[in-house]
Amino acid sequence: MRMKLAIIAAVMVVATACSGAAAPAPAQSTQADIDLSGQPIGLTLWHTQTGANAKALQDLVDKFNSTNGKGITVTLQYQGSYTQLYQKNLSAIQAGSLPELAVAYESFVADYMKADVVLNLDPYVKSKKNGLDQKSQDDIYKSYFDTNRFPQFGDQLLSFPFTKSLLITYQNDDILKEIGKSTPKTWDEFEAAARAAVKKGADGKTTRYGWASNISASTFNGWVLSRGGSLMSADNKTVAWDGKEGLASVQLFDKLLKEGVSYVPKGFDYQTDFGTAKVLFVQESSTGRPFFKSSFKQPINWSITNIPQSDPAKAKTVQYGANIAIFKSTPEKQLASWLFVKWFSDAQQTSDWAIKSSYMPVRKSAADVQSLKDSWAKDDPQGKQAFDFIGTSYPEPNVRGQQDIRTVIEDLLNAVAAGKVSDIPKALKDAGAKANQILKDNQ
Amino acid sequence: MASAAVSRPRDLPRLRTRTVLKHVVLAAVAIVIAFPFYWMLITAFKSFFEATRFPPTLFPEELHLENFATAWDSAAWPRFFTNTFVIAIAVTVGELVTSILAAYAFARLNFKGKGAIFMLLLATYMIPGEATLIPNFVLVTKYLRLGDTLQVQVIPFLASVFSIFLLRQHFLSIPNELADAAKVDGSGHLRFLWSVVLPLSIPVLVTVTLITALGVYDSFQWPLLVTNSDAVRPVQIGMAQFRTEFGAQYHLEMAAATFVIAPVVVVFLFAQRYLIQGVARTGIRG
Repeated sequence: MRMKLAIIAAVMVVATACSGAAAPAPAQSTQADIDLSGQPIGLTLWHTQTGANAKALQDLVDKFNSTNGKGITVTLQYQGSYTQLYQKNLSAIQAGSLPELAVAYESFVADYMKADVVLNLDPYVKSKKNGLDQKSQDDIYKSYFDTNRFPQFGDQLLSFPFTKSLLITYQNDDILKEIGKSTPKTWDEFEAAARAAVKKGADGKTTRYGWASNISASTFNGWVLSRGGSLMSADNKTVAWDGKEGLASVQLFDKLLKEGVSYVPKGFDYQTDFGTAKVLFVQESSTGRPFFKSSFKQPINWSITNIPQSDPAKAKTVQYGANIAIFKSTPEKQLASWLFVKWFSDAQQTSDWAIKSSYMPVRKSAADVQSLKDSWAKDDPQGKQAFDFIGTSYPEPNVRGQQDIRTVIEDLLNAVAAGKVSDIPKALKDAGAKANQILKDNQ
Repeated sequence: MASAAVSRPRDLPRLRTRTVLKHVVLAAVAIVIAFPFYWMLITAFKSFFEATRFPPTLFPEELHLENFATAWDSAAWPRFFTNTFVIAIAVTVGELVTSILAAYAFARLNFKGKGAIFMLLLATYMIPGEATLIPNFVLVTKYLRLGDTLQVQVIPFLASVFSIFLLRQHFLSIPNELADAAKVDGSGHLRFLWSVVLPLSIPVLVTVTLITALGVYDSFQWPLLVTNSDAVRPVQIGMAQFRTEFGAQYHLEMAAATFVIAPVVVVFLFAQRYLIQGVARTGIRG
């Protein structure tokens, strides 16, 4: 009898297991699958765009408001710089007065998640009814998804790409031709070209530099990636930029400054310096293109290329730019917010936004959109050059505390530029230790 | 007298030297203060290229008056200016009323705990604004529901410890005999305040008015935090919209700064005499 019962129980267990594997339960309906009733839904988007970009964004939002057919109205509200927007969001979390959507860097989102106010977009992306099909998901650059997934929060997709760009090199082709060099692919070639570009006047003062080396944590991160390094350890608990790749980066930065091959520009001076042929290379965001162009008093030949690499076959640079986060509200507002974000990332909209704002489109298929192709061909060939490097751009860490770690990196670079660091390996290790403590404090 | 008469010829060159030195120092300080204004003004007339040129030019090579029109068209300036004037007037009038009454009470009335209350009031002045920013924001937006209004830029500033302190110091210097005489004439406190104290306090009142109005005119952080729409925002937020992430149009930014700062300069030029008198009479130094 006992044997019989045991056999029956074993058969039942196996049968249950088999039935589970053979016929999966139907996908559970989520808030991403609800129907909007057509009742008016007002959404507010806090952003940082000014001038022509603000107008372009308003035009796109107007288009969405008049064509979405679901009664959704998005209102744009300018909230100052990114830092001011971040601080305002932190205040709004306290007051319970967050908007439905806000532009945010990854580090901001990680901080907002302390209060668990950011919506997980995974169910919305995967929604059969309102999500993105596989083709569409594959069309959006993987790194744009990666940067919006937060390992500290179960790898949830907590924001969506919005104003994307990448670290690239602006290169004066006229100077390059004059010194008989070709576009540098490696750091050694870059150093040689920069050195050859330096010109001095009769008084011994430098009249032309090889490189305007901006002090920025993102640029430093790009240098580390381009040398094959990592920014974080595999478990995301310690930084990894304090290794040999980071050291080589800081040492080159220091060496070229000391030798007068490079200089640290003030503010946006590097744009006019580039436009007046006072410098050969500038490494900056691809979005600066129109500002560089407006600084050309005389037409010059220039191009955009990737930052130098240790191994050009495995090129890497840093992905820049902010994203949109949706804050938790009502199911209807959340879905309406997602529908706006999804619409904004469609090939036509992302192309329109790219043409007017100079940010990068978030989809590969944007390259086939006629208006963008025309814009690249007629006005912005360097835009296409930058676009072709998107695949090599990798996100910066999106862990909590990253905002403070950026300051640690920039403090180090500033100290090096000011000649206050005599032992670079030790200073880099110290900076790494400080960053690790920040990470520990933010676990 | 005799020794003074004897020493005069010898002191004269020393006096002259001292006067010249004084004027040199004053001229140097004046240049340091005036130069940023001069820089703003000339940059506002320059082209983009001239504005960003290094070494910079001290006089514009060409006058680009169109910079002002372009800057004016770049933001909702009429709305921003109207909002700013409404907020500045409301705050200034409100603050004057509350500060005069409070200062009078602390200066001329006797009540239990006066000293302790005044010290407590002064203690609140020592708390940095950054520490109270978020609690204040939560209070006005969450509990008072005043977010994104003109009122939220007025109400929190209707009382000022600094103005109360400034006025109290001046009110203390008004002789008691005047109060006694007014009492004999049958005046109460309000009558005495209105007919005697305030007419004797014009320079201090102008000082408080100017400091308050200029403070409101220059405010940026609080309005940015508590407002969302251009309909209620002041001029300084308009200025911020000239900043972009990737580049600067210094010539347009300076053109906007010129017309934003113009009302303040005009007011200051007319009222500077009172401002100096007011500060001098209260014995407060900057």
